[in-house]
Order: sequence, then structure tokens, then C-alpha cells
Amino acid sequence: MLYLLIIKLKSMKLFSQKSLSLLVPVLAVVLLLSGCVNQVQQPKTIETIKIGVIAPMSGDAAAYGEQAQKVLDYALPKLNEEAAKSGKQYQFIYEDGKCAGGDAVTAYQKLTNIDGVKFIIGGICSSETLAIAPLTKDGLVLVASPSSSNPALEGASPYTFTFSYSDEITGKTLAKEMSKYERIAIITEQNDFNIGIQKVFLDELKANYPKVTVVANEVFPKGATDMRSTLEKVKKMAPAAVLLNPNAGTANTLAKQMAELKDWTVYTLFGQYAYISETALAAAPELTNGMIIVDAPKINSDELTAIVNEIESTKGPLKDLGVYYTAAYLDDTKIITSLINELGNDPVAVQKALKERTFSGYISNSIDFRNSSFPGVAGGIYKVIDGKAVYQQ
Amino acid sequence: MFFLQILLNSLVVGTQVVLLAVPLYLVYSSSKIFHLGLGATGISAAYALWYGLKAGWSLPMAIMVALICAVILGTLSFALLEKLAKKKEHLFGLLVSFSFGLCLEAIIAIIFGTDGKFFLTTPLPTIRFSDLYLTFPGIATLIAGLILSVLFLVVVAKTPWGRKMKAVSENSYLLDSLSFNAATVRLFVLVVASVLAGFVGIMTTLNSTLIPNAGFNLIVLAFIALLVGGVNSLKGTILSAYIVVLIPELIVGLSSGEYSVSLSWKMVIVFVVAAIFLTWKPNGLLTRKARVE
Amino acid sequence: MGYFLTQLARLAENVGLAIGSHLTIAVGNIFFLGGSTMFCFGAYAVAISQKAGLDPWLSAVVAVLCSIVFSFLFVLAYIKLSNDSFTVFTLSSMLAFEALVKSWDSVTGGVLGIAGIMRPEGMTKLKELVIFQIVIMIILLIVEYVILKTFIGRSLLGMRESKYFVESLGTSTRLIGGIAIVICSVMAAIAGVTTVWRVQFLDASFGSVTLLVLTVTIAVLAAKPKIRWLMLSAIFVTFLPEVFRFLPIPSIMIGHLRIFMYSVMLIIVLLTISKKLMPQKRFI
Repeated sequence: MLYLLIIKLKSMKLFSQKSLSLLVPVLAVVLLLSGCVNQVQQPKTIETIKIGVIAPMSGDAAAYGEQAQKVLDYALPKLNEEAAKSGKQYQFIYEDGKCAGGDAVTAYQKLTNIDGVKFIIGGICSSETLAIAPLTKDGLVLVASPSSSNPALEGASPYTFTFSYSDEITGKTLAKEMSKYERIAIITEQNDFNIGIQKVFLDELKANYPKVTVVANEVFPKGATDMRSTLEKVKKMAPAAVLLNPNAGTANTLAKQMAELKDWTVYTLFGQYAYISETALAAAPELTNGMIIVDAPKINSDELTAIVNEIESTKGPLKDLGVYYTAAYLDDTKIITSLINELGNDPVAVQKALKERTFSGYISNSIDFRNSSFPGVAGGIYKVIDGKAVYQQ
Repeated sequence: MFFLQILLNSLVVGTQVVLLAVPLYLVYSSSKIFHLGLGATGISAAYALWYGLKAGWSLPMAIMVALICAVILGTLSFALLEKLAKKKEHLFGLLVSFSFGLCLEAIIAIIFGTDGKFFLTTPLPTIRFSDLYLTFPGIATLIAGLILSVLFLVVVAKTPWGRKMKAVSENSYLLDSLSFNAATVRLFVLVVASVLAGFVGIMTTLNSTLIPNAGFNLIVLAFIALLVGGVNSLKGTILSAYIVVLIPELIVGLSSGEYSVSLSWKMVIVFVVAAIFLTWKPNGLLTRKARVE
Repeated sequence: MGYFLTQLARLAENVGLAIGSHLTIAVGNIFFLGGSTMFCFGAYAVAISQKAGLDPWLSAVVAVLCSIVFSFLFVLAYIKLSNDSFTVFTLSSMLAFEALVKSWDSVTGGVLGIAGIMRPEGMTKLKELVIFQIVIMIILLIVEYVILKTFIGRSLLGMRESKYFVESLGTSTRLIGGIAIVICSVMAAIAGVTTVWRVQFLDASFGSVTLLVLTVTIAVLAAKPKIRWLMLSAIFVTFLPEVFRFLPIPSIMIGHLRIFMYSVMLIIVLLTISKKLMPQKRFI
């Protein structure tokens, strides 16, 4: 088809011989990079159900999309083993949401109209899920995001759910923990996730802890690599507590550059999800020792630990996704597919079940969507001791 | 002390921009083309070095690989831009170099992924002078910036090579008639510019994080510096690189309280500063009025 | 059906965005790279107006009027700066605008964006909106066709040959260039308005380097000042990357491959057809 197109274009003299001869090898290289198609022949009695996955496969958040795919690729054979009992088989179809609303909408349209999916796992970023939520209101498609946490998702659509804890919980818990200090500072990355936490945090302080003064409220651009001036500014204001609110990709850099300010030690450090992993804490162990982190509740599951280890050993690290979101992906796919196995490929029936029942999974023994788009997971408080985030409450 | 520390940090960032604006100036002087792909070239060399170190190669070996990478990319740039430089199609050259930079970034992203890489996993070692401090890469950047700026100021203004370089862009046929090969001069300039860009890429990412599009913002700043300073004046370029970086950094760093300006506003301030300077001195800070083509 | 309607809509939006760039870059040799900035500006103007309580149609009119006013900033830069400076100035405007909308969150919603942007009455369904977008695209193409046949179009073509010659005939190249920039900006803003009506969500990632490269690729690929070339170029550039979605390429690579493909296309086209765009230069 491509060859015919090129012949047609040539005849229209749109391109010169030379430019076409250059274009064709380039297109050929691109097609070669696609690899071989591996079509699995399905026995005719098994119903293949396609589930769409919208995740950032390119751009700044691509690391999350790549790691999400590792988890889903791991989970798929087990899901199909279970589904075979109901005569079903699942296939994940991935689309690049680029962590942007517009691209997520295009991905959604392609998945629903071309691939005919009725269930979508995603988006990863709140901006992706917020953009596609209004499109699900007619009940033809159900969206279950494993990791979108923006409070604006609450009630955005009756057919949109998320397995993440809300930024509201993180922001309010942080505000409560930091309310013990009179002078506090917050350093935030300009990202939908981090700004969401910042907003809730500042609103909560204003509403319930008026005695606390925010002496510095600094924002740096997404993916920035040099925050030294910002850190100097915050240091000058001499806060008693500092909240580091970057994304996982920038957490190391921020911690390292803050550790370079050796003469600045009189403060308590607070953080969120970005600092839960040992890699982020290892970037500046002296600085982060004693840091208070608010994240999802600790998941005490040997089974989950074994799964994470197995995925990391076979497919690569999951350091950006973290334990909670790995668990969220596993629970998301397990719950949705089990409901499809039971009730059929019907978003309305599955939505009704989500709204009427509670579920058990790695993220919680009581995943409850009855009154919310969020699963009812509370925040957890950790303290960094000897390079590890130790669960406190 | 706070003001001095902010100034010192800003000077390091400014020097990074100077070190990229100088090769830009060199390429422009020889071909009248703005090589927007130099930022990505620098980052590519930095990735080559990172890969070499990660693979366990010795430091000299890894540096050699990075150098070879920069030379190859310089040669590739020459292959792409020479025809356009010869035909004096400068704006197409700008678009081609821009696209070349995007290509490099896409290739890096495919091969290495988009997550940040680090040369050092621990905080950088610092040197302290009383209450002031600087990281080792920061000091290296300042020293290198000073030496290279002086070196190139002398070379461009006082040596035959500098004169040849400027002559090539004015009238390459005349230069050819004096038995100097214009293409060779442009190739040499592009390779030197790419190597310099590689050095900047490594220094910048040593001081922070290595990501595929780290070069783009830096190259835009370098361009703005080149335009504000005057495309025909290396002195003006160096001076304006510091002006274009220092003003926003100082505004961000020194503002506080209710009127605090966050780092997220930096590009807006850079743009406004550039617009003001370009409106006041459209031909550059240190150039005389000339016929604008 | 929705996917194909979305692709048609994207084509209409890309054509609307590229018409202005075609007029300035391909026809007038004015390297104005602020199209994607104006695209974003139009989108934000309509979203903010709606947030302020205006009706969708009125907010679209406000957005277009604001884009005319804002485009005078580029006209001023065009008058004051040299060609090279102007090009880089317009390129950096994209970064500056992105930083502005991300930081000014009280007005623009910052990185969280603005959700729930309403479509006008009578266009609440995608099909109706796409028909409207196609009609707008046809109108804009007719406008460009008419412009090319008028004094402005002839002057732009003349400016590509020799600015001084046009000046010597008593035509102000600054005026003609300024008009072309305003037209380009308005068209890009209109494309932004219709796009945001389709997506109904707006955040700072709306305009990007990819969009800029896409627009310039269409404009340069179209080469000659003819409408059919522009249409074919837009179809080629809009739909070719969509082929990747159906190929078994690892999804991790698709986004980067798309950018790679656009860039390579642009390089090849610029290197091979530049002589068709530029008049033969007389070397002394």
C-alpha cells in the first residue's frame, strides 16, 4: 500500500525523484524497527477480549509507561489462566497518552472505535484520565486508572475509577504533620501530580492551621536540572520544616543539590511518594535520614514482594512506579478482569458491581468504590531510618 | 553572602550558556547558519561518556568515545549544512539544524530512555570559600569558560584562522581563489563547535541530570544570547550570555515573600529581557548600526 | 467511527494551523515560527473566556480578537529585528508562552489545566463539530487562495524574490509582512479554538515542539504557493504517523519514532526542494 502511495505521489510530481529515493529508505528503516508480527492463533471457542491501556510511552513520563507495561506483561498470563475457566482470553492494547490530555483523547478514540475496547486501564497521569473521563459518561466504556490521583477525578464520570489514593489525602496528612512547625517551606515541581498536592496542602494549612506561616513556596519547572538558586532562597528564609515535592524523576537531583548546602541543617525534612524508594534516599543519605514521608499505606505482602522481585529480575527495574502503584496495576487488572469473567464484557454491569461491592487486593483489604471514584485508601506515614522508609502509622 | 551565592550560581549557569554560545558564534561566522542542533550534539556526547563509564571503560577511553561521537556528529552536521551554507540558504539551514537536533533527541530517547541518568549518584563534592560554595563541575565550568572565552576572542580577532573563518561566510569564492578551501574551513569549524558543545553537555549534566532534551533549553538561551549580543560580535555574545542568564536568575533568586518569583517563570523573564534588548539594540549590544537584510 | 472523525478533525486543525505558516514561510519567505504559540493562545483565550462565563461562540470571537492584538507583538518584532533574530524570537516565544501558562495558574489552571470546555450549541456531538471544522478549513483555504490572487499575495511572492525590488515599487514590505503574520496568527488561533472544542480539555502541553515541527513540515513540504499542494502535504504529514499505531512497533518507541520521522522528513524535504522555494541567486 505504501509502495502504491509512493508511485501515486511520484506521478503527481509532488516529490522529486531524489527526495522520494531518500524518503523510501527512511520509511523502510522505520518499518524494519517494528520487528516481526507475532500473531497468536486463537482456538475458536475462546472469546478474546481487548483491554485498552493508555500510558505515557514517550515524553518526560515515559519511564512510568515503560514500567507499567512490564507489570501488565507479567500479569497477563495469570489473568488469562483465570479467564480461560470462563472461556475468555485477554489482550492488552497499548496506546501512548504522552501524559497529555489531547493525546489521551486521541488514544481513547482509537482504542474504542478501531479496537472496540470497552475497558481501559489508564491513564497514568491525572491529565490523561481527566481528559478522557467526560467521554465515558455514556457508559459505553469504563476507565480504571491505576495511578491518577488528582482530586478533580472525584465524580468526573460514573464510569471512571482510580486505584490510587487521592492527592487530597497526601496533602492533608502532610499539612497535619507539618502543622507542628511555625515556619515551613515547600518546594514543588511544576507537574500535575505535585501541584495537586501543593494546592491541597496549602488550602488545608490555610483552613485548619492558621498559625503556620509558609515562608517560602517555590515552584521549579518540570524536569529542571538545576535548583540551586531555589534552594538558596528557601534556606535564606530559615524554615523549621521543608517539604520536598518533586516528581520521582527529579527527586534524586533535588536531594543531591540540597545536600550540597552543608551548612543548612536546622530543619525537618518532609516528602511524598517520590522519596519512598531506597534509590531516591540513597542519593543523599545524610540529608534524608530522619525525613518524614507521606505515601500510601505500607503493603505487607510477601506475595507482592515476590512478584515485584520476579518482575524486576526478568523485565527490569520498577523504581519509578514503586511498590504501591505496581500493586495498584495488579489489583486494577485483576478486579476488572474478574468482573468481566463473571458479568461479561459489559461496562454497565461492571460499573454496577464496582459501586455495590468491596474488593480485596494488595493495596487494601477493603477497596471500596461505593461512595467515591477513589478506592478509600488512607495515607501512610514513614520515617527514614538508615536509608529506608520505615512505616510508622 | 546570600546575594553572592546567588550570583555565583548564576555565573555558573551563565558560563554554560557562554560555552554553547561561542560554538554557535563560530558556526554562524563561517556559514551564517544558526546551528540549533548543537545542544543535542552536546547531550549526545554526554550520553556517550555516560555509556562508556557505565560499561566499565576507563575514564580516558570513555572520554575518547565521547570525543569521537562529537566529531562524527560534527561531520554529519557538515554533510547536512554545507550545501545550504554554500547556497546562502541560511534560514533553511536553521530549520535543518533544528530538525537534526530533534532527530538526535529522539534517537537518544529510544536507545537510553527518558529517565534521568547521573554521572555521580552522590552529592557533588564542593569547595567552600567562607560561606560561599561551588561544586567541582561548577568551578571547572567557570575556569573553562574563562579560558575558552579569552582563547576564542584572541583567535577570532587576531589570528589568520579567525580571519579565514569570517571570510568564508562573506565570500567563499574569493577565499577559494586565495587557495583556501572554504568547505574545509566550515568542516573544521563544525567539528570544533561540536567538540565544544560536547564539553558543555558533559559539564552541564555532570552538575545536574542527563536527560535527552537537556540541550534544547540551553541552546535556545545561547541563541538568544547570540542575538542580543550581536551575531557579528563575540565579545557582545559573551557579555549578553551573562546578561540574559543573570537577570532572570537574580530576579528569581533575590525575590522573596509576597513578591517571590519562582524558577518556573524564568523562561518568561528571559523572553521579556531579550525582547527589551532586541528592541533597544536590534543589531546587538556591541555592534554598530548596519543595513539589516 | 469516532477515530476516523478524530483524524478528519486533526486534518482540519493541521490545515488551519499550516495555512498561515504556508503563507509566511513558503510564500513570503518570512520564517515566522510563532504559529504554535498562537494556536495555544487561541485555545487558552477561548477556555479562559468560557471560565469567565461567556457563551462558547462569544468566547471564540473574543479569542480571535485577542489573537489579532497579540499578533502585533510579533509584527513589532518583525519590523524591528533581522530575519534570523525574528525567527529565533518566534521560536523562543513558544517556550516563554508555555512557561507563562504553567506558572500563571490562577488564570490558566497551570499544569492542571482547564477541564470541561463546552462546545457551542448545535455542535455537542463530535460529528457535528467535525463538519464545522471542515467547513472552517475550506473557508480558510478559500481565504488563502484569494489572498494569493490579490495584491498582498503578489507582494509576498515578490518579497521572496527580492525585498528591495518590492520596496522600490512603492510597496512597504513591513506592512505586507505584518499583514501576513497577523493572518497566520489568526488562522492558528482559529485552529486552536476548534481543537480545544474537540478535546474539551486544555493544559500546557497543548502546543509543543512536535506541533511546531509538524506545522513547519506541512508548510515547507507544500513548497509552492498552491492550495492543493498544501492539502496534500497536510494529508501526508497528518496521516503517515498514524500508520505506526497499526504496526507492531513497541509502544515505547512510537512517540519518539514519530518525532524522528517528522524531523527526517523535514530535513530531506528542505535539502532536496529548497531550490524550488528559493529563487536562483546570482553570485557575483
